[in-house]
Amino acid sequence: MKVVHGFDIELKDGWHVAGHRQTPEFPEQASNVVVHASTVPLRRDDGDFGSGVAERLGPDDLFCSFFEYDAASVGSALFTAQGLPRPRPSDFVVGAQQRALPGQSGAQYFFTQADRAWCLFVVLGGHSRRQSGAVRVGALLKGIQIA
Amino acid sequence: MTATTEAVHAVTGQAGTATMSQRAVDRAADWLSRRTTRRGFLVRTAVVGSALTVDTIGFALKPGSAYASVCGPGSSCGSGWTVFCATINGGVNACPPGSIAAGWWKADGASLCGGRSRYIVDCNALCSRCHTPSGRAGICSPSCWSCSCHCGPSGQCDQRRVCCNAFRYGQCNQQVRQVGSVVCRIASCVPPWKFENCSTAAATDNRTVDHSAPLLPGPWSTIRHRYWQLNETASPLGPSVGAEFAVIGGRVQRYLHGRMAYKSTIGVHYVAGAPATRYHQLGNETGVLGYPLADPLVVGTGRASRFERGRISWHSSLGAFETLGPIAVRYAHAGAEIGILKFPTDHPRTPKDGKGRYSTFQFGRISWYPTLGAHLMGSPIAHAYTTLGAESGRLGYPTADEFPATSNARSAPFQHGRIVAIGTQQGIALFDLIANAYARAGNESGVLGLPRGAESPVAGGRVQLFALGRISAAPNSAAFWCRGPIASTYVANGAEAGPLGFPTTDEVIPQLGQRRSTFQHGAISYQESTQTTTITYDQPPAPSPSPSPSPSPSPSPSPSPSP
Repeated sequence: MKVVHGFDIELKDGWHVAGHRQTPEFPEQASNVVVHASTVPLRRDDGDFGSGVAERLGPDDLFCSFFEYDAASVGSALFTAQGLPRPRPSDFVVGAQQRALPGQSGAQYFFTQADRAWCLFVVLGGHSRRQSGAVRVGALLKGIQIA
Repeated sequence: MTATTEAVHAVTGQAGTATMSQRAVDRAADWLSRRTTRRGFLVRTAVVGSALTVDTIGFALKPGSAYASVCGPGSSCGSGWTVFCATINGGVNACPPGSIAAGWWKADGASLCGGRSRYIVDCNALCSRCHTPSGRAGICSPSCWSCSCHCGPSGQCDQRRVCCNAFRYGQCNQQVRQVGSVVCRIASCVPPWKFENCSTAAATDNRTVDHSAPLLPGPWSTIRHRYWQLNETASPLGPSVGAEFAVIGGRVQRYLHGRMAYKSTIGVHYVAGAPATRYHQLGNETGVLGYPLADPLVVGTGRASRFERGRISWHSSLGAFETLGPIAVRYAHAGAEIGILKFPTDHPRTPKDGKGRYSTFQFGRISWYPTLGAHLMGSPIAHAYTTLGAESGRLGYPTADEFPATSNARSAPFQHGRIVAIGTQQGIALFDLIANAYARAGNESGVLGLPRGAESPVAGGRVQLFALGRISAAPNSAAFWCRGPIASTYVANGAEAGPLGFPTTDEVIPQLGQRRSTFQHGAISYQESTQTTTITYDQPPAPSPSPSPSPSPSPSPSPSPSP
């Protein structure tokens, strides 16, 4: 299914997806894309990097945020990685969230896809289940296309 | 277990030992934030741990007592959020050394920003402990971080984590491939790309809208609104330092490069840069200058700040110097930095008498005495005045501003004399009796014309020469002037050292067509119709083969032309 401007995702069972284009507050801002995918229902007021939804995750739950940066960010050192990432269990670190929550862990991937700069941020509801979590996120990513 | 995990566990462990009151505060804050439409207010008040835990009912009924203490929800170390930079950076709302802005988000409708968006910028540690950090872009290994994970300082409510969360929002300093954990957070009502190297890509997290700290500026106010208009950290004031506070007569907010003050009768104005440093040295709002009356003015390569009782002027090559009270008023009337005086070159000084005051400028001086007021003199007169000891010298204080005396001369009167400056040459001083005689002769536009040099000693007295005559002061006596043919004849006969001695009257007109000057031992008369001078001695002069030379206009033999 097409979620939002150039971002397509094949919806899998047990996943909830929401996306939107940013509404610029200032003339110099662009309408960048934010897409959330989670195994718990998503809310309108969830933070772009998972604030709110992270608190609702159970040990088996996952949350993914695809956050697009300005076009000018393409080519910078932070976004040298090309293409969607392939998460590994060892990527997940306790405390790798803007708000560290007990039992959870997170992983961030900065990359460029289709000349667009992105961050994929993944939260595991239970760090102890990172092995299966990484596999499930990997499966989700296989169904994503960014144009 | 990774170092990160260990660090986080260490913090969690500390959080586990958090006081019961702190946990109660957090629970109460969360409860209140879910159950009231006055969320912003109650959330802030709910964090005042001591108020809530010591007197829960009183706190709930009297929120005003706790309003000033603002940490917002999730302020304990165990809450998982990161501390504000102001809390760990000496009150400065900026990234501390060893960290850089690495990303930001906004919270909409923030009461702390007057209902506007509020922006939180993460300051992440540098990976300074590793030369070439490995791993993917974003966050480097914890072993490379320039800091280690711990809780906020005790004794205040912002107990949030320091250097623990390995997260990067990613909009800032994207040229830096890897950074460390989030050391602390900056709060701003101005978007981060206006004051940090950040992109405009906005992330939103409205749950953090009321996060704050005691050393952040605090509730929205007149000062905060003005600071916002100035672009906050991007302004000449730089980041805030500590919270807004009350002083006698008003309120003040400090910044890294200045301060802003509000007084109800004046409004809100700021002082920045070198003038702010000098203002601080002078006691700020409660010092000699009082509150600022206006924002800084850009004056050429300098700046000026006006205050209730004075002014501070800064020039890039001179420094910042104040002018005070009546001197500042006179300086302003003279055009201040863009007037004839230009910028001050020193702080105000008090002469040896301890009664007056003076300020020096690039092109002049203003001297003030309580009973005389403040008066201005430009460079040529001021240089002469300084050479003569200025206020502590023979002339005393000025009694009026310098003024244009003729088309090419300026003049300034003093308690004990006068200085006359011709063109751009250093001024010439006239003292006491000679100055009085000069005044009787009409000063610069009178019969003597302009002075030709300083007074000089002669025959026990003093003499001063002018373009059209001379003034002689006998020892312990008065000074009198003579001019033209009479002066020429006087000089030809030895002047003060000659047989006539010193003059005892100014030149008079005894009858139409005749002029006459009387001396100690005789008189000289000049008949205009015949252009002849006549010397009359009281007693026959003693033989004097060679009268001593005298500094004077060229001797003019009798008869002589009128001047």
